[in-house]
Amino acid sequence: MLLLKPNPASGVPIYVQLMEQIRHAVETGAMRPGDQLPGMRKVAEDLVVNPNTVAKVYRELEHEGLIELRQGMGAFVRAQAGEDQGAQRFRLGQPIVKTAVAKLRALGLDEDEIRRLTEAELVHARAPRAAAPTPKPR
Amino acid sequence: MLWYKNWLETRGRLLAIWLPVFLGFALAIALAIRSAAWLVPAPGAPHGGALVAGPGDRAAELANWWAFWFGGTLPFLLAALGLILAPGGLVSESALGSVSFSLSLPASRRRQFSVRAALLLLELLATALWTTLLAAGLGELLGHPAPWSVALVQALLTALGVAVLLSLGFLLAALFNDWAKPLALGLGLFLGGSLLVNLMASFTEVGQRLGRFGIAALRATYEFLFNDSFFIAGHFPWRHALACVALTLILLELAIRVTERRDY
Amino acid sequence: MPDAVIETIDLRKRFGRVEALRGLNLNVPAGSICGFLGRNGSGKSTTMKLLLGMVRPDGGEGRVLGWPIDDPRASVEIRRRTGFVSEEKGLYSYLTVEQMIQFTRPFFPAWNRALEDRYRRLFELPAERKIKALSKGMRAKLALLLALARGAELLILDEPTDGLDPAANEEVLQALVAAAAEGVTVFVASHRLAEIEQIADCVRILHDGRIVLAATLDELKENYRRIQLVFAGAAPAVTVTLAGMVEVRHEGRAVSVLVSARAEAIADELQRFQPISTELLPVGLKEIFLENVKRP
Repeated sequence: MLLLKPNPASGVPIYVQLMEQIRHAVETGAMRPGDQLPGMRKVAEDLVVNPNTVAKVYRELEHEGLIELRQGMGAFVRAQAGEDQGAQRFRLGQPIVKTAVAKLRALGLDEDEIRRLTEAELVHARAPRAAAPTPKPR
Repeated sequence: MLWYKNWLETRGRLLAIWLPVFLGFALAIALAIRSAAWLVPAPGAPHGGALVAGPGDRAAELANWWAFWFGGTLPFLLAALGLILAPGGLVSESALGSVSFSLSLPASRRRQFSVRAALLLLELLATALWTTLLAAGLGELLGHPAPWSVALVQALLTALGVAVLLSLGFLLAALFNDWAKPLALGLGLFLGGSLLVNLMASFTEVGQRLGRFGIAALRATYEFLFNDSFFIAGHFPWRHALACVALTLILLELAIRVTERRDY
Repeated sequence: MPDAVIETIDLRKRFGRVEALRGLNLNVPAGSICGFLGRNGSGKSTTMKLLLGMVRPDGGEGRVLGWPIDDPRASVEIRRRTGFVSEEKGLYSYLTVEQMIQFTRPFFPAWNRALEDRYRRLFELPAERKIKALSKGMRAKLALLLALARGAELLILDEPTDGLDPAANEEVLQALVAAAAEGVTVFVASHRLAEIEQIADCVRILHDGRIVLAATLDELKENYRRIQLVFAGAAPAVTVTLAGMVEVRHEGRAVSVLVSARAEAIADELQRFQPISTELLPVGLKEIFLENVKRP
């Protein structure tokens, strides 16, 4: 599995970027159940990122149920036979986002703009809690 | 590896002095083998005329030969060597930028300083001994039978005198954290002092007395440090030797303490 | 909770009339790569020298690996277990690379021959060349090799990538990451914020002789936001009133609020000004740094 160097300047924390990459690899089939992930240390050295960050990524992915850490042997993609809710929801949501992103791109929006629109939507989606009703963004 | 590192740092300079001295001796010996006369120093040389416990009628000439060597040449040579070898150590590293490395090593400042000082003293001693041996050899060739063991012991004593000066140099360098200033200061004081003393001696009545006092003080210091009485009188000058050793140790200890307290 | 490999309490140092450190409370957790940030002349180098016994403190106390920094004998123990690369990266210019390594090795019982060989090859250091003939980059790499190979538990590095070409730069960062993977704590002072952002897990910002910010990089990234509000008409006068707001800027019909915490709550609060658009933008380390080292 080829992991790309994360962008430290991006707003997305490095560990989130790495988690995304691995999840993406599993969801697109680039990594299949039973495949072994590269060692944490190797990942840290190859991508030149903090080893604690890589450890966190692997821990979080194990917590999500995407991978399992076998004592003394390494990290492996879990057999997705009993897929848990979170991963399933995520997989269902992915095509929705894919379509939306494609449409927004067709409008001429770039990556940053798409991200900002999404953030704004999320913030306004919470707005009903505020005292006065607020108009939706155009 | 501190010894080795300091050796590498000083050996260039040491050999730079040793080589010409050796060549000088080699030349002199070669010439002596051919013809002796013009190399023998004239009678009436400084400290000359003193008798040595040696075979009879050659005593005076022998004394002059050794007066030439121990009375001036060897002390001068060793002092010059000290002057050239001394700069270095933590003081110079401060200026050159490697002091942070040295001080980040798990070796105390005391140890780093002591190794360098000890090495320099050994180099001084070694120089005194081998040059004296060659001087003795040359003397033999010129027809002055050499009292070898006596010469070697005297060489050691002369080296002790220079050691005191070297230690003083270390202390001053540690205080200023610079070699240039103490050297300049030392030389300046010495030359300036001598000049002043001489000038004063030539002019006023008070000047004359001060002058005589000054000259006497300088002479006393010189004679204390470069004591060649062993050679002349024949008995080992214990008090002088112990005083030199004590002074050297005290001055070095002070230098170490100054070094330990400094912020680098 | 990992032990602190470096901790100082109210450390003070003055040079003549200048107070370099005015009560430094520094804490570096074990096993971390900790970025030490500060403006030029802020006292980073002085701090490192204090930790290693090159400079004596005027007040306060400090411990490295458990040993007190102002005790000469304890200091030797600290230095036996610590690798240091100074800003000048000065080494003995009259020695060759080989001699320099031979000289340094016997001081460290924990010296790692395998690491030494690895970095000799990786850094391509010519054994027989004299140090005075080495390029700046090569000298930096040699200094780093000497620090890495000694089997230290802690590395204290002062601008290790300063003046290096991009390739050498990358090699150095990789070496630091490899060391951290072995459990070595890396305390690195650097102006290269992008690099710190890349490899550090915590940062400490030194300003006005004190630590003004001590947090993990994740915390900073998660908590700092720039809230960008755009208004239909003139922008209202928004001021720093809520907890977490750091700075407010007005630019025409937009208001930009830098927050260090509670971004979403603050954004919600600001809805009462009825902006036509609200964005939460991430904040890079550079901006966080600049915000924390402003002159009063």
